[in-house]
Amino acid sequence: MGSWKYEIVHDYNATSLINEFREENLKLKNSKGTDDEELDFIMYVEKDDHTISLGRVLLIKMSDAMVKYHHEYKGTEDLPKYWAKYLYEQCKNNKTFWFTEDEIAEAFLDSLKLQTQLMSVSALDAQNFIKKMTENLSDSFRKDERFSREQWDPTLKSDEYLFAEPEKGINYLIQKCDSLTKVLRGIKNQLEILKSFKIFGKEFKIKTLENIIKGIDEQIKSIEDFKKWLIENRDDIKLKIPFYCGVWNGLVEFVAGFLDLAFLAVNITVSDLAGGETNLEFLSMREGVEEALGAILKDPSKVFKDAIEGIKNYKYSRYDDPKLNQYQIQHNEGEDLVLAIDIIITVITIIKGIAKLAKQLSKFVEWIDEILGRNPKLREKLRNYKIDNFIERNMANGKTIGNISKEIIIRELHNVTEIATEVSRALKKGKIRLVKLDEEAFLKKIKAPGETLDDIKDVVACQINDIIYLKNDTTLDKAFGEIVHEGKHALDHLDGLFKNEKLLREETKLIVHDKVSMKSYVDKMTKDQVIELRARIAEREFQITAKQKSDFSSVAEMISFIFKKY
Amino acid sequence: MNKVTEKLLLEIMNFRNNREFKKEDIYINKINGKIDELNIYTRLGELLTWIDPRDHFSFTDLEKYVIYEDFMTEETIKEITEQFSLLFKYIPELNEIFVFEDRVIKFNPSLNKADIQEIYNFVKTNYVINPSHISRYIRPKH
Repeated sequence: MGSWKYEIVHDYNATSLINEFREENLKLKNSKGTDDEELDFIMYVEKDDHTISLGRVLLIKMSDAMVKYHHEYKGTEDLPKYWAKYLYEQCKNNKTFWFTEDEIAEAFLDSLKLQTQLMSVSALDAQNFIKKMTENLSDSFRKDERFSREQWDPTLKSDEYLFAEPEKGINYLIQKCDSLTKVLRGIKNQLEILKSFKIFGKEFKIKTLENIIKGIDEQIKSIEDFKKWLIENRDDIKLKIPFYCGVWNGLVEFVAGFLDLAFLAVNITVSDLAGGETNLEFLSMREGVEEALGAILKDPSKVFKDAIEGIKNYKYSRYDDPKLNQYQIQHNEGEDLVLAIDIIITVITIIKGIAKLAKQLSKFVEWIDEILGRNPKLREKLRNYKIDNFIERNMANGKTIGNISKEIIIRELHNVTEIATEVSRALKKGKIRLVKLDEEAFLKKIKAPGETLDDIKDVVACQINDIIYLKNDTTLDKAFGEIVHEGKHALDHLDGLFKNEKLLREETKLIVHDKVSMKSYVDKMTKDQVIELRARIAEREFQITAKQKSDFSSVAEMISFIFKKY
Repeated sequence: MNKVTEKLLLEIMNFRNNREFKKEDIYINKINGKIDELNIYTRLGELLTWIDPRDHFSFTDLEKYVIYEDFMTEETIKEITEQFSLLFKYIPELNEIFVFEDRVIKFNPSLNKADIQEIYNFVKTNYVINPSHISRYIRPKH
């Protein structure tokens, strides 16, 4: 009876090991089973000269014949019990080999699972693979990488308390940095494997994954930098241990939230490729994920840098809470410092604005809600997070209003000005509607009988009864103002002001815009001009509050435009 | 197209243009006072827009009209559903054209393609939107 033939590739270059593992290996192609002389499996092992393990690569690639044999006939017992032991015995004296027998066994079983999934070539399997990774992460990551209260609060008198000798506090923070780096490297390696997969024989590459992997790399570097900074500031740490633990816990939550988002993004891409759900709710969730992930990936190291700045500016105990002891207050301030970082506020605003997305990222949202529940200043900061950030971010990504879902438009309009909020609410309640059209369809829709295209070339938005029509290619710095403008027309129409000129004039005379009363102007205007005045004011107010370039530098300029054009 | 459908559509068009229940509006008058006038205006507007070929775009579902949008809360969807239910209850003639079930409006299955086309043409020909209900946005040039 023959046996399985194998080869060990032992190298310092983890990336090339992963690439070799992912690519089709011709050496394994001819393997038929144990009776031939062909190679049946390859173990890829990263060389390491150091004793501290930081997520080294150990991957085993089996031939289809070997996978099939163990998956369908033999079961999985031989691999961990016999082969892992055998390979371990062979390698254990090698000074650059640091893996245990159990780790080899695990690599065999992981490989079997992955290879059987990839052999069956379905996107659903890839989704399940990601789901499993996500579940593992959610279940253990936060718990393992955070400092528990027992570890930093001496009043609990727990055996787990770590800082009886404060001067050694730095050691535990360094351990946490190393542990987090190791986990991130492990996740990165798993994601590398998934960079492409096959559906019905066709290979798909997940572009998002490449960006996510780069993002993880950046974060690993940031943690290394953060570690160096901690070592340089070790004398400060011993005085503020709960605070530093709080900062660390906040950073862990951020990284976990980033990973949750990343897995969700990959899952969505795979689901898309597999022809999964494409309803509007799903699309807006996808949009939210892209937006939130994009905000982080723009500068993945920024949170760590900002955290260091925050620590430098930290003043002892800024708020008091009689229900908490001094250690809890310090810890909370550390955690709050991380949540207050601009980029995290951006991500939170996006996630919390989309119900389905918030549900998908429930653990991250739970953490956010806990902090917001105890910190009114952060609640206020979140409330004040304005639409201008949204417009700037999305314009930088080349988005126009056609790329923004109605759910997000409604969310962004809310609370900017009183009228923007009314428009937002009316859209959400289905009292008015928004229709976004490509240029051709837009012109066709608004063109009245007898008109030429030249007659309407300057029209970029329109309100007909309770519907707002907008062009998809309108830039975001213009589009939101135009929605408010046309929305105001629609609301006035629904309120009966178009039919009741007396009321229309009375109400408009009461308006004071930019410290200028409209009373004297209304008397000189036609009905149509008054209607237009109301919408222009709503739009200009919006532009000023949303920090967008105003169409008119003064009220007089606006009035003059109305007299001329309407 | 039967006379009932024709008369009903004209009443709806007229109501959308004037927001008034007239004595001769024998069908839509039946809902007058039963629900808020604004809701009648909005929901009838949705029905009319769905059968107006000038509002048919690449993304319009001509088979069915889903009465809610995905960003709406369940509470809002229930309110809208209730308003449509009352509309169909008090103006049963609407069932000559539509059926309303499970938050979706479809054409009455008794109508064939030619009937539906006739309805589209009728709306396109007869529904002239009151110009005072239209505003066009011109961007100022600096």
